[in-house]
Amino acid sequence: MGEIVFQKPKSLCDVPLHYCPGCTHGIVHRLVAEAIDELGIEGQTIGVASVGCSVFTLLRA
Amino acid sequence: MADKVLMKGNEAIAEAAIMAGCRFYFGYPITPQTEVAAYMAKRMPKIGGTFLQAESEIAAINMCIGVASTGKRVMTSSSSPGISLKEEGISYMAGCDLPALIVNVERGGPGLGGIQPSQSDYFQATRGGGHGDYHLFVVAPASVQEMVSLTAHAFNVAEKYRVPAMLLADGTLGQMMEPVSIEGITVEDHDKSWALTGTDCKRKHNIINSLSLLPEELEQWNLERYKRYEKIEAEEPMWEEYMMDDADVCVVAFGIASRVSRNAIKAARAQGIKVGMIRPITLWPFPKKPLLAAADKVKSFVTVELNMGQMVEDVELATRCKRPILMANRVGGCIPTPEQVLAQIVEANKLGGAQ
Repeated sequence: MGEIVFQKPKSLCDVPLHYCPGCTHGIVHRLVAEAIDELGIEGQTIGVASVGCSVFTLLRA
Repeated sequence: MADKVLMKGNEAIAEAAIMAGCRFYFGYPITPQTEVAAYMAKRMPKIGGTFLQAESEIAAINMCIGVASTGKRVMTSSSSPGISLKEEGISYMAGCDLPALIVNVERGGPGLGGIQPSQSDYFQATRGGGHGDYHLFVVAPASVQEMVSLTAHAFNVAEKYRVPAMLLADGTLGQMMEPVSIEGITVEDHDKSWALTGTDCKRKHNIINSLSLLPEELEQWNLERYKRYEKIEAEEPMWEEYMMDDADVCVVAFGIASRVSRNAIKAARAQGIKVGMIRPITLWPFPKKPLLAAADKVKSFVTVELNMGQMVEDVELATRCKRPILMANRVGGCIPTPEQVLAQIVEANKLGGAQ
């Protein structure tokens, strides 16, 4: 069996991504989640979503 | 009884808010309420609180949304044109079911208007003010002492029902100095399990949100909110009755207009006219019950307002137009004189019975 070298960050919820194909907003979500994991602050973090597509983060979480 | 100090209304609001546990204030200067911000700027850093002069009124109200989301007591203040700017955020607050206190020390309008006192934001305050179906819990102090007690009360009611509250004052009350004691303030402890405080990875996360794209879901949110409004209408109206026991004429006035009216009522009583006053202390919920009861006893009403006739509509609705209603009003920053109010009381006393 191979070694896992890359996986979804722990603080990124397992829900269908709602952005259109080609939109890079999902990558930003992942990078933010990676940073939260690295800093170990998931339990002390409050997410703020802007208006527009990213606000659907709230509805799907 | 605590020692009395001489304070401006604006300063009394700020001190009362601090005593009521408010540790976050966001504002932007505008006459005639700037002393609220100035007082907060002096006091907040000394008690570990946060004072921030925002880049605009819109920024300030959105900062309030942030703090309110965490379940902490937060306040902003402004005067009429600034409140109009805040209305988008106030609507979002109502949609998110967030408690907070918004202070409006009204000045003449519309537009940039003037800097002298007014009560012409009555419609805006009592009908929500922004977009969507919602209400604010609205209190209208008539003295500097009442600015203290109602500031504290508004915070408690806002948290009890998870609604934004507004203290609706005017330039006179904001600027005038009266002896006041900062006392009798209780901080009620209401459920905050909804607040965003960090989950510590021990519970499911909370969401504060006013968006739903499902019509049936959004409808349910509205219906649930209006259940709370029903309860507020049943349990929270406040008013004062003055010389109403034998009254033939009932004056209805709030805030500074009620102070002028008292003088006119005394003068009318000296002439033998039986006149009293019902002073709404909450403007929403409006004290409908005592007004309807009065409509069966008195022969006419006189509303006294610093606007073109806004509260008079609520008096008409509350009394179901059972009796004629006259009005004594001035606008644009002018204040009715006791003589003007007296003249209307004399006229109202000549009217009789049902219309």
